[in-house]
Amino acid sequence: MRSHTLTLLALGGELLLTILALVWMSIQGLAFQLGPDGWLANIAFGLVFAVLFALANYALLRWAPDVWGVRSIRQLYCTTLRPLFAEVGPCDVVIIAVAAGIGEELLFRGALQLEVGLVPASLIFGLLHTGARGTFAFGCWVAVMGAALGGLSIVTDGLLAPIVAHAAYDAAAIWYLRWGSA
Amino acid sequence: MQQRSAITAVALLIVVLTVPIRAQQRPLVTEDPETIGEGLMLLEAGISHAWDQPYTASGLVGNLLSVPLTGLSFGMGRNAEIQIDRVSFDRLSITDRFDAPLSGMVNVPGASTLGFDDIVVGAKVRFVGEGPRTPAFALRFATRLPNASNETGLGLDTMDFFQSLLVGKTVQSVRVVGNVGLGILSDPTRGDRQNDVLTYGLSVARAFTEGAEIVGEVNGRVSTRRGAPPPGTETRGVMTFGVRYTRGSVRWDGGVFTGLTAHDPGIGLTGGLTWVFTAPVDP
Repeated sequence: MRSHTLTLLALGGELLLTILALVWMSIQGLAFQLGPDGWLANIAFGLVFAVLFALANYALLRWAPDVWGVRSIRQLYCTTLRPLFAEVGPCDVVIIAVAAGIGEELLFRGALQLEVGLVPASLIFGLLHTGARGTFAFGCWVAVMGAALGGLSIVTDGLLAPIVAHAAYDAAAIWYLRWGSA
Repeated sequence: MQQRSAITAVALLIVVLTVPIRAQQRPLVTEDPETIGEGLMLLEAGISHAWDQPYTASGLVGNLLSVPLTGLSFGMGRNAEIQIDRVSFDRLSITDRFDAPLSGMVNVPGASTLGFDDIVVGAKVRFVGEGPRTPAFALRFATRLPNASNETGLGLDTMDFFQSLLVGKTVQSVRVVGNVGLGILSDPTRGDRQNDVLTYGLSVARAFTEGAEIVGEVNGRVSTRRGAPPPGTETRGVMTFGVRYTRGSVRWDGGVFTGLTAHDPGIGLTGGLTWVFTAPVDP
């Protein structure tokens, strides 16, 4: 898929998630909070979280490639995600990652988690990342990550840290898929 | 004889000036990323009646009639448009009053109040056109002017700024449009404070016969203020359903809307028309 087509589709899709989250917040009277501790502290929290999760992901893929779940995720990366992002440029990576960070965090941590709780919201987050064959393990990994992002939003009492964490992690992951070694 | 010639000339001018309609919203307010086109103008007018409309700053509640809800857009190029919207009068039939931060400024002894609405001046720039698989994207910047006054109870005497990212895509006979943006709303009670709100809009339009379509949207904003937001800047949302019928260069519309929060009207009706025509003077 041409890089700009993918970027525009991702941007459009994440915008729809953002709108859905804002409609939900508006109807339910949920407060939108970036975080009380100031922008720098939340951005720092988010970046540290992203680095830790990216390292964990990298370590699993590198050092435990034959474990069942990891093997399945590696296969998904090689057969689906790597070809999907094969033509993206640096700007596309930034746009896709930032859009995903804002749209998905607003919906899952800003709206859904406040309504149904951390665990159900994380499970739904993981479930929505599955669908095709061989994506179950990937969905489990995403659910774990969703729970961690949800915990981060609770600890920081806002959405800025999880938004930054999600965007930075996605940027690193797409960067690795596009330019990293197989 | 002279009069008949004048009428014929005006009729001919109208026929020459009219062009196919596109990129317009009424009765919806979610902004389409498509612009009206170079050298074209769009004129819209309508009427709206909302029941149980609360004014959280002035403490008035009532049934609001807005007319003629005029808007004018100028196509400044293939991808740019300038808009002047909500040129209108508001008349509120007061049904209730409550204590509010600006109640003391309201000078309305009777059971109704009348005043100008706040005019919105904006510009829209499309930066990605719609492709076979990809949506169109545009940016819109708008400023709401402080035309409605505190004394009438209908206004805040504040100036607000809005910026939005607009996205739109047509899939078969369904047009889906989304808006996400940031609004900077002045606090009407303090000159040194404002409230930032996240604005949203999602509209769907589906053609069901030639020239006619059914439309719907949710549109509103979410306050980002921790605790109670300044009066008049609260979280709000409105859901609208309606129909549009296009005949020639004129589109007629009608709709019903309902508020999603306690700060919105209970229910309302709206109707109007939109006319797109060639600008008499090339900008």
